[in-house]
Amino acid sequence: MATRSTATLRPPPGDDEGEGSAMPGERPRPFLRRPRFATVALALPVAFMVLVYAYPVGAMLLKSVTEPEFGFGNFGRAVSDATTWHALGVTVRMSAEVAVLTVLLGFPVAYVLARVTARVARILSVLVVIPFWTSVLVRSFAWIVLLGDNGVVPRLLSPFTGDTAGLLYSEAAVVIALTHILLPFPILIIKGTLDQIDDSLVRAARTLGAGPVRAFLRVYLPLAFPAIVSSGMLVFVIGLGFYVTPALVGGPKESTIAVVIAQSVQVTFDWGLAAALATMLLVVAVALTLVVRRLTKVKGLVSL
Amino acid sequence: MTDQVVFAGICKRFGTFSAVRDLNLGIKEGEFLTLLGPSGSGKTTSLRMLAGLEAATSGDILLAGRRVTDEVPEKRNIGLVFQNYALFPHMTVAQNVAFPLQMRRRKRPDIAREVDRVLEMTQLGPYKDRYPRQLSGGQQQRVALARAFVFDPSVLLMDEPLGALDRNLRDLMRLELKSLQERIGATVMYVTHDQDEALALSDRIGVMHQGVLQQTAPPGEIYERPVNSFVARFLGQSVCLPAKRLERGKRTVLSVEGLDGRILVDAENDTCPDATGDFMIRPERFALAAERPDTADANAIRCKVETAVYLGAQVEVHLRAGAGARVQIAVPAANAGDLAAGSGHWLTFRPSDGLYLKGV
Amino acid sequence: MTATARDRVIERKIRTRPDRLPIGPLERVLRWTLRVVVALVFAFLVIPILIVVIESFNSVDYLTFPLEGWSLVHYERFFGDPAWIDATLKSAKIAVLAAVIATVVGTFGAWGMARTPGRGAGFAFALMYSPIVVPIIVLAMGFYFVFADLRLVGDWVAIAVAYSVMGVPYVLTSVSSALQQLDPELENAARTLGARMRQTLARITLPQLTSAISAGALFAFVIAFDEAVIILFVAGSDSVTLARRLWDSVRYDLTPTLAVAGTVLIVVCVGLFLITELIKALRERRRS
Repeated sequence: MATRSTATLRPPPGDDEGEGSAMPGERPRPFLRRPRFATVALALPVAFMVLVYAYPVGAMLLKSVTEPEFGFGNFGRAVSDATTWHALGVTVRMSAEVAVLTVLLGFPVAYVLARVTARVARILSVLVVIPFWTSVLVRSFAWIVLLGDNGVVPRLLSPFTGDTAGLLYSEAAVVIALTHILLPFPILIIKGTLDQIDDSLVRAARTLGAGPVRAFLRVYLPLAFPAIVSSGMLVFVIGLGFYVTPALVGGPKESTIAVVIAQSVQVTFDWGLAAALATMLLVVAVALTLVVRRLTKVKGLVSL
Repeated sequence: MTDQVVFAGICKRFGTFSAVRDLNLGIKEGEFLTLLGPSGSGKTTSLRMLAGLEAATSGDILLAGRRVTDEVPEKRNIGLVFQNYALFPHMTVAQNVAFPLQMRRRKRPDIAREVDRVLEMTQLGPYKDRYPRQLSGGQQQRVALARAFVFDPSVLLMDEPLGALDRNLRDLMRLELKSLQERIGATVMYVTHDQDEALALSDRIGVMHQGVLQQTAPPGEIYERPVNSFVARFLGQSVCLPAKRLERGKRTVLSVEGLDGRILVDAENDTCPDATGDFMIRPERFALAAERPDTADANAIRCKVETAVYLGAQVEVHLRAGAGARVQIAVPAANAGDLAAGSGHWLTFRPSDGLYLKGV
Repeated sequence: MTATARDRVIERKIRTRPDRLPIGPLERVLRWTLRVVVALVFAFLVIPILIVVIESFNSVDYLTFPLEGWSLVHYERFFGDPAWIDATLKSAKIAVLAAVIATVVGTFGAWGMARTPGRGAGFAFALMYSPIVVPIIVLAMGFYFVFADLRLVGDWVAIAVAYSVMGVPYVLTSVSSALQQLDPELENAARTLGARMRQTLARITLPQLTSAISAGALFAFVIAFDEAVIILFVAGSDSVTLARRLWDSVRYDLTPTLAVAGTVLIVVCVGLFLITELIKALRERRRS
């Protein structure tokens, strides 16, 4: 079975679409053509994804215009609701802060990882990848321990603040925890790009009269820039839709969009509103991701 | 005897680009045929169409009397040695060679015996349990070869099989390849851009250029009697100059760009259908003389030495004819004589050594 | 691997040594500043995780740091509590099934994509890769509605199938990039030697993708084992995973037993990762 007939591959002479049009002088085609094995190999996974993934997401999107009645009422409500705008503001602000912080902290690490020997880089990478592989829930829990009343961080800060009251359930707590959780992304992405930069370029700049700082700023950094921007945007996108950490370490006043969505589903049972918010979130996430993909190819996060 | 392989009016287009145009070619059983040409001339495409790795746009391919144009590669029973060998990296040498036999559902003891026999023939016996990455380039090449003929294919195809080897090894493998082919009596279609390889190995050579098969002939004939100036230039050294036919008769009289006077070539050497074409001569057919020879028969061209490069056995002499043509010939160092730059000489050759060809 | 591919790998491995340029005073200061900053960032990355592990050995019933005293009492409590054990096993069961599905779907998808010309492959890629882009809360809602409609809430097989969707992009990218490294002539060679497409895939292509496939599978497992959002919507009462139980406990009673559960999650996921890295390193050493 699964014999791929070479005839199916052949574009008919002088005619790219006319599959059946037997032209004079053209060889008759084999009568029986089975689908190519590769096509089957692709069709089955695609069918699975349509059924198990595209259908649920599509159904959800549909609910935004059909629940409780057909129309764009849900979007109207979402846009006119002050809490939505507040949640949106909080979400965008926090995501932006986290994106900037992770890039600022991640770049030096990526730089060092890209410039030490392969062996050392491998060992240090484990320190980056272990947090990456640790459950988001566990890492959020860690910050509850660290930032809670009488936790390590409030006590370290007590000489300045005067008390040991916790920082939990605040925007700051969410930003700190999210920075910790998303930091591996910029490190791994930027390192991937820095690995490609030829070291001799900086040396060449030095021989041409640039000091170490100027060589870095004028030669090295511009080459790293696309990765820096795209990893920052990736963090921003992930931050927009993040649910676990804001729900656990954030306070009720700083609900993010994801938290509002979950509440609409589980507490107020306003499925239409939840679906409308989720639709908007999805559109923004997809759009920003496409921009990121334009800027650089983000890949290779599965392994070191 | 019917041909083992027949290409009948084969065309291959990629979009609007014609890779192969109307290829008609037969390969006899036991024959070693080489397709020779520069890269992009369509020779590899032709080979891959025979292997079933590319589909022909039109035309037919016959293999051992059977029409295989639409057949999948695994049904064609051809052995193909790939340019980069394409050895299976996760299999040992013996497993690689056994693979085609396993695919043909041969019995286990038969497979073991065949594999041993073939590895013996290719001097790979000691390496049978090694993995491809543990072998040298030449050994990998032999594994690829062993794997391609172990199942007794109707035709053995080789796509630049020596291309990845260094010069010395290539010459050695060339000899090995030829003697192996003679021992197993295989029909071979060989693709290369290396003229030395083509001349040394082939019973017949087909020269390809821009998707068109220019000429198919035994090595001697293709060197001595090329059908056009592309074939002449591609095989061996040549002096090729645009020329115009002035007169026809027992001898053809030519006016050649860059050479003064009239140039005579024998009528049988005039194969050009048009009034304008290319004059061609192999540089080793030139003789260098201090005086003009008396025979009215011979061609003689006045020229000056530009440089002479001493190369040990020979001296490479760069000459410039009075009318501007540059000619480079090699003279045995022993009778080089005075070749000082600027000195005047006569280049002579017989009318039977010059050719008047269709220009390409 | 062909000779050139191998060369490329070796080249990548032999990273040039750090600059041996003479170092000026300014550069020395910069270099030390960089080192301190990077050390601090590493500390920031690792310490919270260490805290969880350390906290699991606390001897009292509430979270403190430094510890009141070292003890294994919370481990006894965790492993003695059938609810925690059941949750752990349920997580493992779901994650294994999800990883298997994701691996099959992602591997065949990657291979089919590589061998299908034109737009079909692009569409398939968008479909199989996009779960990585879609915010999990959006996925969770989609699954919630469908699970509710089909009365699948709490069904562990359905949950595993839903989780497998999140693993597919990782298997897909991992296998796709390995396929790009693979010499396409190998499949052609197998075909000319008499192997049919199916045999070629089974005997030539898949054996060379094993490490990429297992890397993807591992990631799919870890994602499903850790998953903490979708489960909030689709768990029901009989499919409480470790992550779900951990979530409930974090919200309602913070005790060091939670730290034990967290440590179990860390050990399973990070342990799996380290094992595969080790195997990879050993294989590379044996090869060279």
